Amino acid sequence: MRMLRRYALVLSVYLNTRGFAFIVFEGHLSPFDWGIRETRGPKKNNTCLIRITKIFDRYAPDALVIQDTSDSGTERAPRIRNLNSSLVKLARHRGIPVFAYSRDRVRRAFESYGCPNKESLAELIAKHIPAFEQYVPPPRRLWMSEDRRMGLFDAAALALVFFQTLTSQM
Amino acid sequence: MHHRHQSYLRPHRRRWGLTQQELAFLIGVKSRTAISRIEGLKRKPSLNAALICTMIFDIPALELFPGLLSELRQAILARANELYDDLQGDSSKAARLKLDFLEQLMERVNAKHSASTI
Repeated sequence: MRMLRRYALVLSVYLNTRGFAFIVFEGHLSPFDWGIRETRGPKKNNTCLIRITKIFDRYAPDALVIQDTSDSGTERAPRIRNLNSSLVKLARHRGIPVFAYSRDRVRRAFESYGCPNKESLAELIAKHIPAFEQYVPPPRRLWMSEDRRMGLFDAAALALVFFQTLTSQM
Repeated sequence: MHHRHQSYLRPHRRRWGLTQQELAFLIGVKSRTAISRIEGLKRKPSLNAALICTMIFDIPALELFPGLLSELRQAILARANELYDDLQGDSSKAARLKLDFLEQLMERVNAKHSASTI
């Protein structure tokens, strides 16, 4: 990790039931590109993998940050776990280091900022990264499913944990 | 200032939620294709477009189009070197003045180039 430069290009990918959200960071708090990709149909994982491969091709990131879905990490659906391992394989094949953080690790990292839930975390991230202000979803009601834009903040949170870890190790 | 990418137009446009069509309108070009090509590095921005973009986002051209500026610097350096070589051997006062200017120019361009990539 110490080999990574301050302005390394970091790709953060958060997988969810609808598809995935990604952010390409060029240094701490500087997003270069971001997006939410939704996929439908039976070959969801394949489509997602093709789209993520295109992002890899376009940006050639220096590091990949994903959610830790291993046994010791966050429990996710088998499809997402499979896609996550495919991502790890893809990154290793290209010699890109992979960093994975569990949901608990992310929660712990933002605990000191007073973020009890994802909503407040999204607001905190938007405050620090103005480019994401427009994506903060409205407050979620009990009968509402999670807003698609929340994936972007999940990806941002993973990347920020990565940068936090990087800073603390320097 | 460190720049890894050739153009930072896309992140700045998206930071303000502008579509390519809207930015094209602000720049004064007909279609969003021009913006797409500039962002995708398939086309260099025209002088008008580059200047308007720096005004729209209030960012110096060096930060918005570092790749283009770097390319221009290389071209200036190459041409200045060529002219410098051509003027060698000319002992006139005018030639000496030009040589001094070219030395300053190359020093300036080199200094700015190293400052922009740190």
